[in-house]
Amino acid sequence: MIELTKNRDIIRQSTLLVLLLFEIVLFSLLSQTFMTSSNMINILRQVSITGVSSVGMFMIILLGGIDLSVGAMYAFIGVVSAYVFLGTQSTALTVLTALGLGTVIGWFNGTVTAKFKIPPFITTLATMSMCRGASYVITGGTPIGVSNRNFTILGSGYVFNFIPIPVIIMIFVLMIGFFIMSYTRFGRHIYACGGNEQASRLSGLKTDLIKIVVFTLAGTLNGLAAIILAGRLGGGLPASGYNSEMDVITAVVLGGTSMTGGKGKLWGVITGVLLIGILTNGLTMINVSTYWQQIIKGMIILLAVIFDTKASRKS
Amino acid sequence: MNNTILKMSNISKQFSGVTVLDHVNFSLEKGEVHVLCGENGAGKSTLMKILTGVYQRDDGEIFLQDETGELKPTEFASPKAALDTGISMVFQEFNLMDNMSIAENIYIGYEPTKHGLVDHKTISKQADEQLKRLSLNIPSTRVVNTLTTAEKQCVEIAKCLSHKAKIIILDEPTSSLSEKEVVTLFELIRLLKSQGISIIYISHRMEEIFEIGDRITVFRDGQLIDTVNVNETDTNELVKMIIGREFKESTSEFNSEQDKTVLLECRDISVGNFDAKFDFKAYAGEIVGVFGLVGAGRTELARTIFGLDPIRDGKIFKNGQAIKVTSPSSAIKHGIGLVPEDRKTQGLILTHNIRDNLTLSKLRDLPWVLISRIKEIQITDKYMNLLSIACHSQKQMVERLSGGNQQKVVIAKWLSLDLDVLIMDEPTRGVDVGAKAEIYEIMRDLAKAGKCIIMISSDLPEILRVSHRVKVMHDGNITLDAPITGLNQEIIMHAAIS
Repeated sequence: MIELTKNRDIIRQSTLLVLLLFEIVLFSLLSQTFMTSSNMINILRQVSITGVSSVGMFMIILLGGIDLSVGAMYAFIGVVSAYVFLGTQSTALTVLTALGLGTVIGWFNGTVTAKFKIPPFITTLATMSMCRGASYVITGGTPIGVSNRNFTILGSGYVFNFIPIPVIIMIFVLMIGFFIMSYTRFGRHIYACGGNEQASRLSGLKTDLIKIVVFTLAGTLNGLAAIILAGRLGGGLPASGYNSEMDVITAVVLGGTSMTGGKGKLWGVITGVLLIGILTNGLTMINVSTYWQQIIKGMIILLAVIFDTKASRKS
Repeated sequence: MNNTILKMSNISKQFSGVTVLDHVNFSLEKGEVHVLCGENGAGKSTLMKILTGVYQRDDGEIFLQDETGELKPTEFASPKAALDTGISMVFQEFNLMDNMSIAENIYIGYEPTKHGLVDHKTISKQADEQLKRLSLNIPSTRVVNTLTTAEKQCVEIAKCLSHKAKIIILDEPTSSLSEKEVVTLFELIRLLKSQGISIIYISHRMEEIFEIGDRITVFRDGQLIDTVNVNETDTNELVKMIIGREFKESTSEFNSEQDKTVLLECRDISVGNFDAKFDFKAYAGEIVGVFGLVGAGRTELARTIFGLDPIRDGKIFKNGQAIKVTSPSSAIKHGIGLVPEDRKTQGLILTHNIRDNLTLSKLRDLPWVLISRIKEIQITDKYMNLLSIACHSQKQMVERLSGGNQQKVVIAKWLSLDLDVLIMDEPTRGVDVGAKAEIYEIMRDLAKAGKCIIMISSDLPEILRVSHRVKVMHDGNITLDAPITGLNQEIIMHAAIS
């Protein structure tokens, strides 16, 4: 029976990779500019924001939760960061504000969820609404433009004139994520807690604390992603980040993370992020409208989940 | 007329190359109670799943009696097909919608309709009749979550009858019933028998088998060992058939000369919602059996000591020092562990493998970063050998282990922590005879090593067999606290009732 579960993982793994290859071949046939090194780098830069947030979302979904507040956090944190930068002209202070604000919002999500036993769907739905509202209130609805290079560098800067800074940040975050999930007690506790919360608690795990820390960490990462986005957009936009959480959730679920918690691998999430990123880039290259892109993405997430349920039922 | 209502001949079934049923021949008479026993994984559940259409057989034939009394070959393509031909099963875990009424539950999926809408009046009327047939005096409009376990079971049986069941399969029906409720259940089974309904009764409990059964079929390792009449066999012979070897068990000898240090002491505590305050003392090297009927406060006692319920009154002392237990994690820090009542929901992470489950609590003793894989494998190996857990590898999912082996994984998790006090809530529920004896052996070894075991159980023979000292609970209070010598079932039961 153990072979069956192993097989399932391998099937899953190879299906994702085959899909990825299929995408790459398809788009390079359809578009001449797709298979260029500059476009490859471009794709990596485009997925970096989703990539950074997906690590936190991965942990939350592993716990059996969900975070709907990602996109609204981008907007709110982006707007506040823009103001802070305009006021202080300090990159360090701006980044600290973004990370700090993300951490606090994440902590709020986690604490409310854990202490008041509220489903994270509801908690983060409320946070989403509050963050989105707040970003409109403080800006009066108008974008806060910041053209200073010290602000935009995190989003659109390059190292050696070639590798985008956001890509480096994403790789760094993914590595930390890998380390936590594979080599630390905390990572193992997340898997356990998501697999069976009650059994974990009875085994002496501090399940509430684990939840709070995971949501807090996810918040910090969203803060980081928010400042990258603001840098790329050149300021704080109250309307930015609409439906961003959908991309992040899609990537995590596509990567084989079980929505019921306890099962999933971070490498799968990375493949999921790339799959979505290449799809978006390729479809845009061959002039498919963003409206159609939404429909296609919706179909893909459905297929992924159907496949997952079928595969797990068979094993 | 032929009285055989069901015949299954030469049934075989394989799962990924492993034979789980090997040419099994089974028959069932009209109106008999046919007991199936065997260790977990012996094949009885698989056979029942084939009979109820959950699994499809690889080989063999099934014959079912039709209206004319002839045995006709039958196919069960799905659970619904089996249900429609009159074969129903009551699982250990009930399939009831907790927030719906009894009537709605009985007719779920088969609701009588009027003008295309559910006809609630007819449902209630028919459901009431079904309940009356089982001499149960509950209005069928009651919501299921207000019922006791025994009543829920009756609703399940009523559901079977509403499908015009000719064969009812009961899977360990008494596992969560009190003794009084068992008596009622047996009356009900006899009533069904007299109505010509055949019962297939899966059970591990010897006393029950001999009280209610007509014939017994024993399974072992996927083979049908034998079918015998109840009055032609006895417990010893049956146990031998089930485990395939003779089992020698040591007795619980408690050396009273041993240093009688009090390991755990509770003074003036109250548990759950009960008002009574009592003292509770447990000595090193002792197995304390805590007996009580369902609702007597046994589980609440465990929850209080383990920090799951806040302590309202009194104090807990460990080695003579007052300790504050506020959560399971702090209880473990003070050397107190709990093997919970329900291994599936409280003890294990079913979708994770043996190693991850076994080392889950032990992780706190390993460094928080760079957890040593080698150390984990060593720990797992050690306890898998110690408890002889049967599996393919450490990486096998616990979901796929038999009940006995699952329970051993839970126990192994706690053994690895080397705690002084281990509370075990119903440690052998749903565990087969062989594994049961092994678990008792482990408990005795722990006691010999100077640990203290607090065993909560509603199984009286188990209490008498394993404990050094018995504490009986009633209404959230301790009504009897005495060494095992000189105690018998009667005395204990008496203390549990009043």
